[in-house]
Amino acid sequence: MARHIVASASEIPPGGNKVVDVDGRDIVVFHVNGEFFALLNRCPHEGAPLEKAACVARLTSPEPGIYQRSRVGEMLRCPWHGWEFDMRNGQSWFDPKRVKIRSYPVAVERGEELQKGPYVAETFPVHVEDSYVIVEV
Amino acid sequence: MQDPDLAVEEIERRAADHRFVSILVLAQGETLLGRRHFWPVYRLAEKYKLPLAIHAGTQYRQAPSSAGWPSHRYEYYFVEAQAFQAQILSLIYEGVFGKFPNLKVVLMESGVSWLPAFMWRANKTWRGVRVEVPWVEREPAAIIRENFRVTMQPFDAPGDAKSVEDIIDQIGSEKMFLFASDYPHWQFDGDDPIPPNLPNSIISKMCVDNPLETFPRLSLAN
Amino acid sequence: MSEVIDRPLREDEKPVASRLRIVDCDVHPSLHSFDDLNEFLPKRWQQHLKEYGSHLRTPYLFTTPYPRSSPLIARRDAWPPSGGPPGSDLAFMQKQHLDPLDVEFGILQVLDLFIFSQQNLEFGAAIQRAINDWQLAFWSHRDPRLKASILVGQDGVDLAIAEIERCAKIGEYVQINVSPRANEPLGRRRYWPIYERAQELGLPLGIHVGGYGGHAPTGGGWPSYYVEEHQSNAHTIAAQLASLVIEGVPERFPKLKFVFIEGGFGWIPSAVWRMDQHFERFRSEVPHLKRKPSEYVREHFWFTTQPIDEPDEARQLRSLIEWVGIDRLLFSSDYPHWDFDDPRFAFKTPLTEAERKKIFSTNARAVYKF
Repeated sequence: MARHIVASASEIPPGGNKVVDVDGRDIVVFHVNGEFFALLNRCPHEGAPLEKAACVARLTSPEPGIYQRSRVGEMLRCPWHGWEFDMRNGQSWFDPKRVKIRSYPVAVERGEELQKGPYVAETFPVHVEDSYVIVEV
Repeated sequence: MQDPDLAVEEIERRAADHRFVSILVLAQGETLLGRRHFWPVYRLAEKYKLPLAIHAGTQYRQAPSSAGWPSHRYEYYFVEAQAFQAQILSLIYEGVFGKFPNLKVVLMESGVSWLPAFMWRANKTWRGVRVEVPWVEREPAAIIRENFRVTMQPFDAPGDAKSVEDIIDQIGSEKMFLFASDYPHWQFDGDDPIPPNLPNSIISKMCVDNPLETFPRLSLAN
Repeated sequence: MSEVIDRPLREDEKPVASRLRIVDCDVHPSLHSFDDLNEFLPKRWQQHLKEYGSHLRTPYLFTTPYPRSSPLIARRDAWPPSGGPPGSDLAFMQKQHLDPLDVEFGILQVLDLFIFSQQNLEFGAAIQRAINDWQLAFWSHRDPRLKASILVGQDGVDLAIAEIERCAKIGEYVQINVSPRANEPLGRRRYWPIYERAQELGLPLGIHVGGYGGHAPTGGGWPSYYVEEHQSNAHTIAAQLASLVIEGVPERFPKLKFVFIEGGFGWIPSAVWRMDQHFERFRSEVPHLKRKPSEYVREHFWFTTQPIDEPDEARQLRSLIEWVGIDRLLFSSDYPHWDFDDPRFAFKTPLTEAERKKIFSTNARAVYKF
């Protein structure tokens, strides 16, 4: 596993995402509720681009007719067939053990720490005073 | 089922008599069976261990299928299987089994071989659209295998034994099957009402074990 | 869920390198706005559309009785950057769908305005005519891969025939489309003049799911939810297959071909077994049938693949395909709708190269003659 600097923290607004190429993998990084999550940018079903997914709430119901939302923005709803996934671990709602999106560890670190290395960021200028999103692949 | 209050009254009146073993309704009534105004009936069905038996038949309140009114009895008989499928979806998606998890539903004269593909499609649609009905927390096929039973006449079987075996395997639950002859109706399958090519393993189950499990009052009646 | 994609694409799956050369039998173009039709629609009917809108057998004016999973039932990534609804921008459709998936031919299926189901038959005919012209001007002539269909409303049989004649003279259309949900089942005699003309012209009848004929979507009544209604689409198609076969349409028009679009194919084997099983018993009711229903199905009917069935195990999809018969299946994507199938990943069971060729190309080319 190598650590890749993929974005400055300020570059991805809350509720937004950024698609990055890491070692030939299309990875999408989401920024939700103050945290960052990195997932393979492909739905495990038919390959839809998850950067276009709706960021929705976890939807549950104690009984028919009642809709309860929690963890607003932390679930992905695939832009094609509507499958839901948990951004934190890529697990699908309907079969969390068997059907999931590959997810990657993410960290946010200050530029001054990063200058000590090791990290991979051939094309990415790192400034001491900024924070950066690091994805481990 | 036109008046659930009266239905409830009648069920209460008969409940102590164990010679009554199920509550019989039609596959095509005025509205789909999952609707909430029917729930008092299901509450009693669960309480008294009376499975809800849905039998082929219609009140002709709407066209037998979404295509409209067919010319022939043959067509009508063909599309009847679809009404059972609509009833399964209605009962599941309205949330009946969340409310009454022990309710058993028996499909009578519904046909059988449509079950696998129907369950695949139901699962697929649920995965994508379940946000509409978040009270349904398990895939529909799992609910069908647990809460539904089906009579084996007609089976609508493929011609060869291997395909029949595949269908049974795809349905994925041997406890769903119940023997039925349809005697004395003209659709009655004749001297050998056991559908051809059924694997031996399920025949005794469908003739004895499953009916006793599905209709618990059969054992109480003696 | 036999295969889960959690890896980088293989070379042969990468869009440009795929060289799939597919025929996509279900591509939905959409009007940017009703104004697109102005150049094809007489003033009277433009005015009518503005003042009265659609008159359908549904409770709402420009929407459906159920909210349908995603806005305009579309893939969320299919909204063109130029604005307008999904499917309304040819350049974007080319970039997102036709080019990367190497679509050799795409067959247009227009659903705007529920044009088949308009209750005012004259208005319906005017809109159908305008849409038929619009398909050529806005789509086929700009991208010859896209093939147009002659849309007609079968409840106005005389108007439908007139439109078929007009379009047949133009000669660029590949099929005649009618609604699966009209006033009566498709096999009924009132619709036969359409089939007679279709047979003479050698044009297949295309029947795409959707619309509201006024009958409840199920034989048990109106469901509460879209999750139920969506599944009823396959029921409608099965009921129409039975109506056509049992009324004797293939017997009467032995060269006619029918393509059922977006009904999927999982339901077909049991439907055919059921028809066959009960044929002996009901034979005297339908003496006009000379052969078993399965034989008519095997010769006269084709089915598009989307939405593909997703059994628990790959071998079950394999059995299904074998039961239906690989020659009966035509690939369709349903682009840009939410339940789209991607030709690279939809079939979760191995297919041989020859089988792929049939499903993705040669079956359709034989039906549509291109």
